[in-house]
Amino acid sequence: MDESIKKQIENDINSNKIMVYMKGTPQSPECGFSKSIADVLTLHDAPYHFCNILENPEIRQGIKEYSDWPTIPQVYVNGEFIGGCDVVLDLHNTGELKKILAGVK
Amino acid sequence: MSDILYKLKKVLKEKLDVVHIDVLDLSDQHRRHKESIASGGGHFHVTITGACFEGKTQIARHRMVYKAVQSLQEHIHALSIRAYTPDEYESMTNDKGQNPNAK
Repeated sequence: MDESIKKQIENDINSNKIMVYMKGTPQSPECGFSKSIADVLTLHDAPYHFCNILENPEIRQGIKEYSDWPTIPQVYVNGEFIGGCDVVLDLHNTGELKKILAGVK
Repeated sequence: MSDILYKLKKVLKEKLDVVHIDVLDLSDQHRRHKESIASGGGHFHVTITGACFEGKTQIARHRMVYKAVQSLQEHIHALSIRAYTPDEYESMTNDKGQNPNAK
């Protein structure tokens, strides 16, 4: 991975308490899985930054390598990867997400 | 069973220590998903149970499944995964209201 891409990812996940890599935007998600993530974070009233990977092909490839996770969306909280769509929705269903987000709001 | 479903099951059985695998092809639900059409890959849902997931976080379990199906990447646009240990699967099937991930 290009060093500048890695630096940008590290900067994004560390300077934003919640960072979401998604397809499209929260207002106009372009994939059902990305939409689910946007919906669940809105439900928790959790402000987040996002990167639309459809407009950033280098980040799209870079984040997959960085997280060792082949799919989008991806959610970072406090610089830590917490999961893609399935895992984050699981965390929501078990009440775990509420606890994780309570620490950063 | 379509070829890709067969291959997915086969590769998961070969690479992971599992007792139960269920693979669903949900591609029909995503027919209008432009990016998926362009990539040529389908949408799949895997429910997988095995001792290989004991003591592993959900993130680690998903990584194991993703790695196992890597050779079929070009056929997969999206993969939804439910990965359970045999104990979790049993408690879930005994009591459907109980979420196996709940602590």
